[in-house]
Amino acid sequence: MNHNETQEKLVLWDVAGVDGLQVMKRVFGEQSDRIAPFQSLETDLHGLPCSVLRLCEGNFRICCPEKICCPENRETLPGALRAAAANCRVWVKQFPWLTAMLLPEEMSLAALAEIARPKPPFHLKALALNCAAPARIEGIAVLVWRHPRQGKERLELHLAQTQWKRVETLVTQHIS
Amino acid sequence: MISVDTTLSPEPHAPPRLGRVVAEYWVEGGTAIAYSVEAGQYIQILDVEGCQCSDLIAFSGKHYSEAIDPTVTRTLNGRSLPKVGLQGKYFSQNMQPMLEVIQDTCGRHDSFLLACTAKYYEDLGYPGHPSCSENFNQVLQPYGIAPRPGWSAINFFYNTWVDDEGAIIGGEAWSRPGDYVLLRAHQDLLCASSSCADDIDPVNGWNPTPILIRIYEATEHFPRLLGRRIAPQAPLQLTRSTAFTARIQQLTSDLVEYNGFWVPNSFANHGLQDEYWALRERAVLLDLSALRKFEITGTDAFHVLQLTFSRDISKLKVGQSAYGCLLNPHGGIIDDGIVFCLGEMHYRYVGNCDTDADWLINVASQRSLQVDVRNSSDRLHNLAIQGPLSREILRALVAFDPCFQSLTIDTLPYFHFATGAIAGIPLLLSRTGYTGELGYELFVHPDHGPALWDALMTAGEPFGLQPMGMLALDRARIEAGLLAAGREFDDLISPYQAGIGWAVAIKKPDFIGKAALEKIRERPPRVAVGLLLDGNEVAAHGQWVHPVGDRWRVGVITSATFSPILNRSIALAQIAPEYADIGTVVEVGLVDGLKRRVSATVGTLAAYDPTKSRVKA
Repeated sequence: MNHNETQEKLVLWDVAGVDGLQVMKRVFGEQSDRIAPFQSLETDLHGLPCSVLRLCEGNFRICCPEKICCPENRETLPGALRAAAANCRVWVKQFPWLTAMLLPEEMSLAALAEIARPKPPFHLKALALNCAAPARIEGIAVLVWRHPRQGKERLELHLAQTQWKRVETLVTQHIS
Repeated sequence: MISVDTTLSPEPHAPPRLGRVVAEYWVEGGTAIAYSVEAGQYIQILDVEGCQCSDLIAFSGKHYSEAIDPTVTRTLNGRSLPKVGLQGKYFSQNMQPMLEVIQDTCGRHDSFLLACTAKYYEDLGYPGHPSCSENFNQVLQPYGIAPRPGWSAINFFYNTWVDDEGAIIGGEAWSRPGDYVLLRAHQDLLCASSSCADDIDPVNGWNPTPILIRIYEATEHFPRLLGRRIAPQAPLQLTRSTAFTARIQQLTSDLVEYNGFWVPNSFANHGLQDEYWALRERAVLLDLSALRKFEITGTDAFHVLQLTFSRDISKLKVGQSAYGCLLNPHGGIIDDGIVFCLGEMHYRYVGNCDTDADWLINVASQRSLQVDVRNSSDRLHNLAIQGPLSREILRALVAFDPCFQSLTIDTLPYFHFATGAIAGIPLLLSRTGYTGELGYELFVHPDHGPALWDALMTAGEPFGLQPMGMLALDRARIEAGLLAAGREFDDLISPYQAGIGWAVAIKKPDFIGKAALEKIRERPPRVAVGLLLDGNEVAAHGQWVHPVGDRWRVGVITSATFSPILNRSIALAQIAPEYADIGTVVEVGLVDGLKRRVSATVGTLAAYDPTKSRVKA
């Protein structure tokens, strides 16, 4: 679960606003409006994988490998988003307080459901692939996201940076 | 001193118990009691004689440090008051659920004001008048809870509302004798309930009366129910499940009360856009059992409908149906619906209101017509299968009855129906819908509901059939320019204003509302149009439409949404005829109507497929 050791570092970019959907359509195509809030799709930007999660009508989150955002990459994700957002009523942000935690493969959905309580009407045990749900682990807010990562179905948590260690501990304790 | 009666035998005039009672308390008029409940137990707060408020406060934790908090409750639910269902919990100041409303037969309560205080009475000239807050102070003192001049409470049956100016208005309680709320405790709680002491204004009908508190076993299971009254003398109706609810509940917990039934908003792991696209590109299954069905039979069945329904029934043959509306004498729409011709003396009206039958009977009685009108809603629940692949899904499933053997699913015309069977289940199949897509509605006895659902879902799986909820349905019907009661019409709005003037057979020799409609038709005060808005912002019901650059209004938005297929913000609006020509540019006032105006172009009522080519395909 460490950011840097066992996995490629993931970064999150958020797009939100009245024109959020149109910006996403420009960057990722019409498929952006095929998903409902808390559904996601797997796509790519210049050959590099991106996962797109819709959070409401005009708000989206993109999870991608850090290298897609590197300045040496001429067509970076933030660059593409900002170009598409020009003259639109949206913001494009990377929240410094938000992070993504890719859960170990041993942490199944059923195992996660034992420690995470979803907000109704979501159900974690039945969470489908490419779907997400807001939940709490011992009172700590997380967004549970089930989607493919490097060809494998994985569970990803989005959570406040400040809660990383605590959640990591809780997850580790649960699977050990 | 407050008397607490814990005897388990009910008073003679007490309403029946709902289950196994573990404690029962009578709160005499103008008093309060404190009592404990355990997590999982249920509290029933009963207004025995009607028109009596009962304030509730609850505490949990060590030293009762956590209390129910109406502000937190309003915030977390996004509602002024919890409502049975997903937004049904009462929370503490620490945002922990304390109670959940499971049943509510009244539906009108207060969560804004304090329990009545001594100050309220003092300021009105009644120093020393008992108050709920003072009564709470007394009954909570033994628990070491410090007194307060005013308690923030949940004020059941207290009829308040916020007017357009922001004032909180109070009035006579809506509750009738026997009305109750049933709450489930999420924690061990100390509660205090009052029978409100207010006898100086109408809130308790000037006369405080007893409140009955019953505590039920945690092992009981009470369904979530809302009570609704549809007419002054009609009995209370509790929310019902449809023949398909059990199947739907396996697929979603996002159910809402609609017209007296539990219906799905959206489905787990899917959602609005996903379900919408399934409709537009494949096929969806919808539970529309909340529609009301009425059998109109007898020698004068035809005449009654000719008088009350806007369409010319004489043009209907057996197996045909027509969309139209029931009209009142001033040309307003009582209800919209479809009349099915089942025989020379047998018609079925499918609409939205239980009271439709009363109207038809009333007209028949006034005109001495021989007709029998029966509500068949409990015997006919209905699914709609809609979408371009709906016919393909049904093709292998449907067998029409011998009397409809000349038809197949491929030849069944729009607004025609046939009886037959699917998987051996007898049903009526109608080529109608509410989505703007090719589609069919299947009417079935509730006993066969689950089997029909299963048969359709199984057969539809290879076609990508999926269930659709009300959120996606609303988006689809706005695109298709289809009306919704309370949005596009009510009994003050004529068909000409609502956009269904085409459904008025004005040449019929006589029908209710004809005289008024002949005048309205010349120049309706407003006419229904579709609007295509510039930009992606979505308008809202009730926002005003203005001429470009002018301050005054020419119309109002009735429904609005973002159309995924058109990639446009669209709306249905009713505007002055002078501005209703297609292509006219108007402005929609967003936010407060002044801060931002968005340009919009008048178009056809149906922004999507205005020629109805898809439904007629």
